Amino acid sequence: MFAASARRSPAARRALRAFHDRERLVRLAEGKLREAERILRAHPAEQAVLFCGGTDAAETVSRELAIPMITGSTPASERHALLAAMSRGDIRAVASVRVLDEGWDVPTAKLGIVLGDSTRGSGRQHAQRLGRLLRRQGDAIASLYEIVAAGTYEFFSSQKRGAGVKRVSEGQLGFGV
Amino acid sequence: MLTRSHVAPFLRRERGVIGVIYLADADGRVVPFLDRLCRLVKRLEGKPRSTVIEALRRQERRVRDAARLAGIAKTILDLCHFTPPENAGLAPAVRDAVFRARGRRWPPVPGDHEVPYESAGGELGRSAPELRRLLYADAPGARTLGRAPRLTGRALLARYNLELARGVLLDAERITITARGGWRGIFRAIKAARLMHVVRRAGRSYQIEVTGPAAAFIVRSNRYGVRLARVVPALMQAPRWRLDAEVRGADGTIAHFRVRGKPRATGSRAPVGGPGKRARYDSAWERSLAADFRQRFGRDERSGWTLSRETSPVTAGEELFIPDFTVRHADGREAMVELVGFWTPEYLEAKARKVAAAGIDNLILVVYRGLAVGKAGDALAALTTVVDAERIVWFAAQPRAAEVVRAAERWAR
Repeated sequence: MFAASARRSPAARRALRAFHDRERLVRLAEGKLREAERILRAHPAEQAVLFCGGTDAAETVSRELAIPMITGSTPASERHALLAAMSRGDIRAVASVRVLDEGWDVPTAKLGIVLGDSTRGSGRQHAQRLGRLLRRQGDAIASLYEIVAAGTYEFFSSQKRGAGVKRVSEGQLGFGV
Repeated sequence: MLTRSHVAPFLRRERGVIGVIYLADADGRVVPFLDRLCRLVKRLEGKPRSTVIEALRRQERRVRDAARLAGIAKTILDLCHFTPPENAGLAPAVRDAVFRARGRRWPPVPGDHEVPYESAGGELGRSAPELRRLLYADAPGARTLGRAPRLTGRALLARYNLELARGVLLDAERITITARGGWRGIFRAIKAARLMHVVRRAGRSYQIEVTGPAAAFIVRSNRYGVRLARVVPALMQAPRWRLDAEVRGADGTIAHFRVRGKPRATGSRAPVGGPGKRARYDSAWERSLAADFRQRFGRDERSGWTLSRETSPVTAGEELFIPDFTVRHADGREAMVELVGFWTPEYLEAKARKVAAAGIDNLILVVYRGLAVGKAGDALAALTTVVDAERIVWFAAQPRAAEVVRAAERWAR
């Protein structure tokens, strides 16, 4: 509604632009990358999926960590090739924007790091991301980390995600988290 | 082309009629602003697409209505020619090498960010900074502006208004095109776009009824809509055109929509369309005949003859026959000119059938003499049996305008 009214109001447009800039800053916060590296070092044997909040964030992660990114514009053939390389162990981690939230299966990936969220705390999306890592693979333990920028809306989104995933998992998966 | 979100804010539906609120230059400030936008994009030649998009977006502070600017920016971007940066084709190989290098050196540790690039650089024989540049060089946003459109603000205004009208057609069930001239380009565009269409005679002219993307039996309506949209620029080559459409709204009701080409409207009247392109020729012989005509008769008003590409279609059995030129005299007489150059025997046979079916008594054939040999000669014989030998103007190297006019003096009606 606000976005629609911003069409004819310069002040509203400035506010909307500032809102988007703030989201971009949070999405691309430098500290998140350092923290993600620390987590990756803590799980050196695990294959990881880094869930990002936008394509710009995924590209930054991909460039800095030298890992592939999978977005909506990644051709299906390249996507399958990347997941196959991950299954073989040639690639150890991948950055993703929504695409890898559901509908793929790499049982060896047991580490998830949430760097951003394009849905502002959707419990369903969080449950789907978690579900990717909970594929049975011997006695392997899956881990999902969330990195949020302190003092920003991300903190509340994380709380909302937690509450949402609890509800979804109890209702649909039949176990508590 | 504009999406529904660009078009929807400017549509009004009243009593079964859809109206588009076109952009007009009522206060004389719109065209100078659009001129400035065109110059801005021209200055950005060589810059990445993402920079051009951001530069256009920053103009928001200069406009009252952001939705107008978004539509105008999209119109300009669609007319821009973007090219991939140098060596963009190497990007997949670079990615493969860099990511595999990181896989061998896992996990990342502080200070080793350049290591995968250096390792892959050694493998590919390139430097690490170059690999960083090439990593996503094949992404759409990385393409650079090769050539900005050569537009004036007034032409951009007319084009934007045309794009608004084109956006309405995405929901059209049936479209009727009425044009004065320019049929060749229109038919070619409709055939190239593989649209379902019916041609009807309307008095002395023709109408084309095209099935729209919203028709119930069109399966992939989005793709069909994009193909239909490709026909609209062909209309700009017609001197006058009109388009009537039945458009289905979100509530399922049908509304009527009409748009007329008026590229030169000024002031409070909004221009729609484009400046029209110069006549395009299918072959060098056609161009040569037109040039010879211009040279001999272009400034000679006493002759009274003019040569025009604007020919009306002629019914030929179940198909349409569109002669290459019309030769008109100031007193109203006109003859149709069909140039038969160097073509395959099958083409000549089809042409012979069409000419016979059309039964036009003011047709002049201008035929390349070199054709009268071999298989093409046989096919040509078939053609000459359906047309009077006196109506055929032979040429050896270049068609001669003087001979065409001489034939026209005799056969024009």
